[in-house]
Amino acid sequence: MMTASDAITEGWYEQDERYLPAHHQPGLLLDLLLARDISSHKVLRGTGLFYDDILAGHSRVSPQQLRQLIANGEKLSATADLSFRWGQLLWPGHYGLASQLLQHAGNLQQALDVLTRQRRWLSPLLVPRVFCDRQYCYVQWLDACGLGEQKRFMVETAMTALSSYSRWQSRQQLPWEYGFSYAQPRADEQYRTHLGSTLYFDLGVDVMRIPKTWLQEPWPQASATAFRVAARHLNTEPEIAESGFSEAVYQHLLHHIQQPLSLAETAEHFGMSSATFKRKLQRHDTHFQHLQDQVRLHASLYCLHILGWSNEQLAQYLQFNDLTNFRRAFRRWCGRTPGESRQLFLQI
Amino acid sequence: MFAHLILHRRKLLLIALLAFASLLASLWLGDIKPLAEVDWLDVVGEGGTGVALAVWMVLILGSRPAGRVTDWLTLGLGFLFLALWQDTLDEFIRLPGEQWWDQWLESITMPIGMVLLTTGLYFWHQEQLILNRHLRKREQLFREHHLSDDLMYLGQADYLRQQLQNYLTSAQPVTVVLVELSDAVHWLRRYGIAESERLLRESAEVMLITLRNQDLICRYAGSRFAIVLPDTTHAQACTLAWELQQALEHCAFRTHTGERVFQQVNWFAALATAGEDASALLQRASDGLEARHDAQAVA
Repeated sequence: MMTASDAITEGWYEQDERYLPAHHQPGLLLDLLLARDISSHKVLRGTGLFYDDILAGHSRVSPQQLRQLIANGEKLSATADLSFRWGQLLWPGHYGLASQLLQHAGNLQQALDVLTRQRRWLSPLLVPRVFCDRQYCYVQWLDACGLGEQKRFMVETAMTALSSYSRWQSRQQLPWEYGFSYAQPRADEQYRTHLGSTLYFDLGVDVMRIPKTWLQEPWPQASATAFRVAARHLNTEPEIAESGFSEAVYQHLLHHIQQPLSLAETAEHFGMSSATFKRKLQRHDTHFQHLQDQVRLHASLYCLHILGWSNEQLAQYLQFNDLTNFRRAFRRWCGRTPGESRQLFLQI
Repeated sequence: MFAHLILHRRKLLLIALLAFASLLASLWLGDIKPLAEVDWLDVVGEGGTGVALAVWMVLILGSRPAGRVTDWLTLGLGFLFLALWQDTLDEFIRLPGEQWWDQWLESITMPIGMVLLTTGLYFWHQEQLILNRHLRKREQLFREHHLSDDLMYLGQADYLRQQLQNYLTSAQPVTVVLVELSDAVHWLRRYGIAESERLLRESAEVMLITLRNQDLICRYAGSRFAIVLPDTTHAQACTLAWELQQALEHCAFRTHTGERVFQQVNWFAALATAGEDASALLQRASDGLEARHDAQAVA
């Protein structure tokens, strides 16, 4: 299941790796805040960045610093739409070849391929995982290297970014549906205004989906030539890791979902001792059991609700000895039994 | 804050100079008391009040443009501050008995300050009434600045819900109109951050002009605005919304390069039904707006 696009690239980037040019996505967020008469000192407090350095164009930020910038922005902005406005501006963006590819993508399929392959540059904190079944194409959003409290902000940004970008490129509003892992916010007017009315909260996973027929719909302003030249240039660049550390672990666990891995086995795969592995996960705001649970929950939700599997099939697939154990585990993952979860999905 | 404080630098300088002069005069003419003689309770009481007055003065000056009202308020607080300053100095310095100005600074400045401050507050009250009239369509009878939008200077959705709830508890019919500027989703990409925000602000200004005195406009989210029309039937609300649409679509908005920006406006009016709360009413209005939007897309 879902293995075709899950090929694991070797290596990963970590939360303290300063690789992202500060004038790329961080620059846009900064512009939005500065336009509201907030001083750059306040916006950059605690990030270790200086506005003059960013303007010079050589400054690079780590995912951790970008997260701090988001936290500052959330605190300083009086309106609740900062994440959505940032999302509207995010893509195609001005991030070199990756942006050129997005700009000239011929259809949604190509655009999603670019987003997945270039996620390190286009969507460094929250990365898309794209998969299809017979009817739908799904874009699931994964924490790349530890977002913590800024996860919701980033989910809002990423989902708005993909909707707004695909709407702009295709010159029409696409029928995206949105699912969120968290409960419905008390005030959902920003979601309705920026994303539309097909919103499902408290699903246990952050995912968007669209009927597959839209993948091949040609986009008017694409240039196949420019796209191919940009792709060719990209191929000549040295290969670097595209996954964030948490995401890499998630993908590895997903790849081996039928042979549940222990912490020690996983640590060995990543070439480090169990203790180092644990520490590294902790620095990425997560722990092994949490990731393991997330992987199994997400797979279970897909199998139960999209593929229509029975509890027995799923328990067997996930190597549970008996149904009671499976039900108990499922409840631990998302707070509901499989039956209750099914009820919830029936209402959708 | 600092931009405003610079406007008043002369007043601040004068007060600082007077305070400094009285300190010099006291030191020159008097003797410093031994620490044992100092009444610390007095120092804390009088000195503390003086500090509080100085803070008030900086806060007021830091938030006000120059003008008559500001002058009165500053002079009033300034005099009060000088009186307390001299009081505090007396705790540390003993002056020979015949210093008329010491007595004068302590006892005369206080009532003068009170009179000036009271006059200032009276003028401020009159000024506030005029400003309220300017802000009327943005806030009506309820002010809550932390719920206001830093882009439009209008109330946000939370403020709207609170206000709407107040209207719903009264018996008169209330209608909510949600207005959407349909093209505004592309403004950010086409014209950039500053221009798109300016265009939204100007659209809000046009809407403010077309509304009646008793109406209230808030920024709902993104390019959606909500207008609360108290004591208004559905038909009246529709007429008002149609007029508003005409005004927006015919107004020649321009970017800084002079390019004409055309507006397309979509709206939906929802009359509050009995027992409906603010959130439910707004949900219904959003549903209606989206249905109308989809219908236009199909057509």
